[in-house]
Amino acid sequence: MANIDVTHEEHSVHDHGHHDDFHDEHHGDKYQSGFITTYIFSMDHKMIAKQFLITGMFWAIIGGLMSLVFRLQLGFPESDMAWLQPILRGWIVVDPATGIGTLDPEFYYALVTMHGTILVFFVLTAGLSGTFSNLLIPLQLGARDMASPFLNMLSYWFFFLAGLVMFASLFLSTGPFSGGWTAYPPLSALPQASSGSGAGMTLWTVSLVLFVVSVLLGGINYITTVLNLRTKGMNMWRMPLTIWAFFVTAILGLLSFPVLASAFFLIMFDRGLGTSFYLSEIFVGGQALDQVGGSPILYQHLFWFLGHPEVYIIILPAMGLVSEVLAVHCRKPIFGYRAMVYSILAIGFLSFIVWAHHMFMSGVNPFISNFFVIFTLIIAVPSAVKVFNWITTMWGGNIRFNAASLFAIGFVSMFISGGLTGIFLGNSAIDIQLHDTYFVVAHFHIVMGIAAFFGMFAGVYHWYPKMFGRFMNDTLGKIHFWITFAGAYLIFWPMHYLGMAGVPRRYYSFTTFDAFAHFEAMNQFITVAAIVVFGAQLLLVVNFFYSMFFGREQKTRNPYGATTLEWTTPIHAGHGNWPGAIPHIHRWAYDYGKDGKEFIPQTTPLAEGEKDEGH
Amino acid sequence: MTLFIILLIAILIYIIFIQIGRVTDLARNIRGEERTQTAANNANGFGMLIFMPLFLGACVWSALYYKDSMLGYGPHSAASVHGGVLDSIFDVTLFFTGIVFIVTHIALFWFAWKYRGKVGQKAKFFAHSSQLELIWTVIPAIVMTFLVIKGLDAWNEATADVGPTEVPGKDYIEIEAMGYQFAWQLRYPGADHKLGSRNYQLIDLANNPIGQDWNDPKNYDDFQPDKIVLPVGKKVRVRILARDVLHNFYLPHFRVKMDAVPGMPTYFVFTPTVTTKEYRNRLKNYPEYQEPADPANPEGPRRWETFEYELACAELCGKGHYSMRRIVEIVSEEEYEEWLAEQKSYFAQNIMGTDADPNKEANLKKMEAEKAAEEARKAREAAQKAAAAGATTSVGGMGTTGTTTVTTGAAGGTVTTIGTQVGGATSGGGTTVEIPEGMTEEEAKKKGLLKRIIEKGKDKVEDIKENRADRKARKAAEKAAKEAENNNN
Amino acid sequence: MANHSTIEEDVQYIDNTVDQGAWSGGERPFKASYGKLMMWYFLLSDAFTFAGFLIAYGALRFSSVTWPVPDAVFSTAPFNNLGLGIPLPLIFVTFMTFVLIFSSVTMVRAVQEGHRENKNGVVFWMFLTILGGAAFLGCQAWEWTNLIYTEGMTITKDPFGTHIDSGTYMTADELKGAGFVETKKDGATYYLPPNTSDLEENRFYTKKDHHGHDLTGTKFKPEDSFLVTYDHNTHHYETSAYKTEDGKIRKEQFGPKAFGALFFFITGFHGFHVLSGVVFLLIIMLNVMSGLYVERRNGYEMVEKIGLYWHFVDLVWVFVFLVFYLL
Repeated sequence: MANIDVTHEEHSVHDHGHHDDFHDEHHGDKYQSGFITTYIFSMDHKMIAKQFLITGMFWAIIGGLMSLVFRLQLGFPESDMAWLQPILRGWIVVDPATGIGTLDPEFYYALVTMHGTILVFFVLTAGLSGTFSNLLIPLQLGARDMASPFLNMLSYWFFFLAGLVMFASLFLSTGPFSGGWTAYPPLSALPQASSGSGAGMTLWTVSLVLFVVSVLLGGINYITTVLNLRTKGMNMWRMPLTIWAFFVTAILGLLSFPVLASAFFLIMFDRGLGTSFYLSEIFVGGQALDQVGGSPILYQHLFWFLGHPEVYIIILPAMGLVSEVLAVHCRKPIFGYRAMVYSILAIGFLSFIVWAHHMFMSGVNPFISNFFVIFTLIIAVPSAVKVFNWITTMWGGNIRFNAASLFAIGFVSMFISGGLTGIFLGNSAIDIQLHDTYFVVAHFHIVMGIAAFFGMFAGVYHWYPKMFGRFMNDTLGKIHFWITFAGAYLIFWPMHYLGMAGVPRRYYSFTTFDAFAHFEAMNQFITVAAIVVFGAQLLLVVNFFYSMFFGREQKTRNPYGATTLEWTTPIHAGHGNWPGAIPHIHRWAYDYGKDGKEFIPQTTPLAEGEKDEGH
Repeated sequence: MTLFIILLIAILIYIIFIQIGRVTDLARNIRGEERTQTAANNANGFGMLIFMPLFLGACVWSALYYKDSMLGYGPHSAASVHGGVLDSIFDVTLFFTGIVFIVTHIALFWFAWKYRGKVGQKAKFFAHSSQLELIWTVIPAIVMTFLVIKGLDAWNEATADVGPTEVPGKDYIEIEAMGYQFAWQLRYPGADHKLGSRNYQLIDLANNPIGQDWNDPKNYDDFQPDKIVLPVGKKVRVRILARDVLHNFYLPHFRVKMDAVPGMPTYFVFTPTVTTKEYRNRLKNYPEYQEPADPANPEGPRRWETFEYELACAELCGKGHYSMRRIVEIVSEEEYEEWLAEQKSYFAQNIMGTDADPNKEANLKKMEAEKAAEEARKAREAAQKAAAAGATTSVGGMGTTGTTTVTTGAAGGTVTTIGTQVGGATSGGGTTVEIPEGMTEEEAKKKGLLKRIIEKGKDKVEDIKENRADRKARKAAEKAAKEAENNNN
Repeated sequence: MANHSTIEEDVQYIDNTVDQGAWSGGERPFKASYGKLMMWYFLLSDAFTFAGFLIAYGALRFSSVTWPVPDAVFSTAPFNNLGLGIPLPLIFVTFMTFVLIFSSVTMVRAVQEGHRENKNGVVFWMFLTILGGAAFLGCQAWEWTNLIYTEGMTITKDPFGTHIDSGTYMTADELKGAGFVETKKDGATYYLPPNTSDLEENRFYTKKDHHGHDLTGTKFKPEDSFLVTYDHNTHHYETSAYKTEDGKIRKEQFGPKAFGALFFFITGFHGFHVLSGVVFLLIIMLNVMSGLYVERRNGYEMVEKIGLYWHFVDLVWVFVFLVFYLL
């Protein structure tokens, strides 16, 4: 990484246009002057992005492995799991007579809980938004760094700390938290009801409160940077869709995560201090508890007030990345840029008023569910608009297939499939039957577990050269894509059928019920597919680390022929991104194929009489 | 060992892939960027093209293949009134979303193929079209509106509670299901059709699992079966409770589902329309259900024969969440009445006369009196039988049948009941009838109970009179028999 | 050092063709520095945290059958009600609110002095603000101590009940006449109903206020509030016996549990914000005194930022006051 000195002189000559407070307080040479400040406690947004990404990948592997263990239980319940004992120790119960090891149901639920928590928060929120907001916001806006690099660094380290605490909870003797990632009380509030609700839940809550701090610090930074640090000429309508997505995501996070924190504070009180926020009239562990007057439904409201925006916090950045990748590789502007922006804003706003569609069957007054059905089905409209726009972007294009664009196209397919099943679930009448069945599991896995991941993969493959100055191996990337694309459908499509057959989710085994017990073959199939697909993800991991050192080097600044600003920096951009002044821009981000030109960078001024499409 | 081999194979596969990757990288250098990219475009574009029919075909084929296992299709049309409506809304939604699914995927994969990158091809600069945007905003909005209206209509009906003028027993049956870790405690209201009040502070796992308040007379006839039995065609209101954590009352075949919240009773109202027997008859015709129910016993009963409606829990409640099963049986009206008649109230079986009974002394006396009456009645019956069969044998017979102990809850005899006899039918003698606790004679009379009580009382008095006479006779006969024996020895 | 390598074509360093305007990039659309913007966004997120708690308050309060009457609960003041001996409903908390609002006013003055680059002025007014904040904290501490130690309120026990029927408090003789057994233990006298053993829940006490004055024989109406007195010697809550108008003998029950938990939690969370605000104010005041901000380009902007935080804390208090004490 070249250490570029930036002198005051150059500032005064070249850096004009906006107040660059940044350089007054942060000198180029204070940064990256040693190993620690370059790679560990770095304040450079590009390094922080990589830290988020690698930590996210680590957690994705852990979360994925967990899913393989519980899928083994579901697909092959009779099989001997004693071979897992060295890792899972006492959680595999070995029958002394037969020597066959079975998974302890308590731990099964711990795995399911941890899988959800880790993937939703650590991988798809921190690993997705954290990585790409940090990497792209300053670069695409023409800023030296984030508004507050110090707070940005703190944002990563709070995430790291949260991860540490969560990791520690995996090793507790009473077990990690096992009440589902949604942590509904009273189960999560009563250690007597479940052993994971003891120390495991305490650590879980602490970890997530730290995580909330990380998200808030990051979000404050992203919003401020987008508003204040755009370069000259970059008005809001010229920002790439990635930035719009990250911007709205940050606002969603800022407003919804604090409510999660308040829900967690209240539950900590209920657990430790005997208060009755969520608990009322409970007889457990052989005795009637004192708590009266609380309401478990209050928790559900507070939780889902975050929980719903959370899933949009996950999908919006993926949508932004996909829009960008598709435009660049189809050599066409993204179709309907303004409509896309309005859709992002609409989705962002609407996401705050649909939360109780997760609570249709929770005992709330059925009357209020009417409103939530209406708003939920309204939110389908901007989502549909986006899908049609992506498809139209491909129409008439000159599509360049590589790992990134393949994943972007795969994203569209997955978002269609997963989004459509959301329409079933959002209609409360249908939800009566489908709530808490595998239909829901299929829906959210396809939209979050696959679509959002595909957006992330597209981003990783596409912007890898920006991060490391080398390319990932594209063939491996394509193999990764095809196996994952087909395999993911093979895993999650059958789950719709299970759900329609009425099979409930969060079941350790199906043998108790005649109605649910005859799908062994399907469950086996799903498990095998899951193992293969997980294996294919390791291709990405290997590719990622291998290419860091041995990948094909990036020789030109703008290998894809993209219009956006991040491709105008030197190949190994140092701190401050542009060695001289920051470029100014004159047009929107999607002039691909305009006036017969392959692409026109944003920095090119408008010709005489030329209209800016972004206006 | 197998694990080791599998790992080894996996590693080999990885190495193969990595080598493929490196080789293709080299090839790219040799062939040049442009040719490599064009080849890739063709290959992957083609991949997208064939993925389309494979994917869509697999979706359709698998849906048809599994159709008969899915609720709402094949033999599984809903077994409740509202369930049919919900199933039809699912179908309508499937229709619209199915069209969108197929059309958009065809477009996606087709465009991926058709517009794959070629040397010399130029992309069209087509950045926006307000017209198109309008079309594909308005049409989804209209479809959504339609689905919302249909859905909410069904929702409001399905989740409605019973009306204020509806009377339990007459217009609907009210039962209660309390979820706890890890089973369902069921409670029926008994002859008064009303569930008695409860308080969680009164719960005692040994003898009051629901926490019924024995000061409330409505509790005296409540009974706790281990399965739900309901008559077909009658509205049922299930009162859903939880004792410790959240549970969920889920009847898949009836499309019934509602969370059980500790501290807040919830409800679901539904009307079953298909008896268990009828449902089995439906299943009979489908190959999946002709398989043996127990794979280990291929000659045994088939799946359709052993089919039962089931109650499951659908909200994570701890490590036993997956095992909270109860059977639900829908039977004809007559069978339901019969079943009700067999049920014994929890109070009578476990509480009456014990320390937990608020009227312990009074009830104990009553119980003893009834026990004596029962004994006497049995003796009288035995004596009558003996008299019919002949003297000598009957003595011995009487001796053995002279039941001196009558245990409450003895099979065959109805246990002493407080309140009117469940089922209302006047079954044979031996049932005692009391004015229900807390009710004055006036009220009992008004309710038409008193007439029956008086009449029954008359019988009772007659019985006792006769019994005394018979007992004298029996005792005399016994004495005679004993003397005869002694004389023999 | 001309190390700006040639970006292929198009980087313009000086150009006049770029759009101008607040939102055209290169400007601060809200005319606020990034530091101030960040403080605003942080405050927005904190507002949502408080909102979550206040919503919990709303939900639990309105699903509760009764709720303590604030006039009766918050009717004490230091120095034995200022030496007056009569209940002073809401007087003390009004004083607290006034102090906090006053400290916001002094904060505004401090920021003004900062704009005028008047170092001494800033220090003076910030000092007054800190005093105000500290005074608020002191008052809050007194309030808590009073509620916990004198009136026995905790996060799980709410001694402020509301009658739901009318009646009269029973005298000792009346209780004995009704068959209750007088029992003396640990310095307290209580009455057990006939035929029960000595269980905590079954004790009936005669009514006295928390100064020990006998209140037996007094009548009350529905919705009158009462205090379940807490005896510090015996560590028992004395739930007093009363007779309803239709002759039933009952005893007072605790108020809804949620009240205590919500009160201490929400005012505690707010108090934590006041405390951290006071600490930051102190630090920044010291920075001002040392002349740190004189040299900075943005001058006394840090004072403005902490001023924003302080106003936020004040505003939240207004909502808490409204919700807990007035509604």
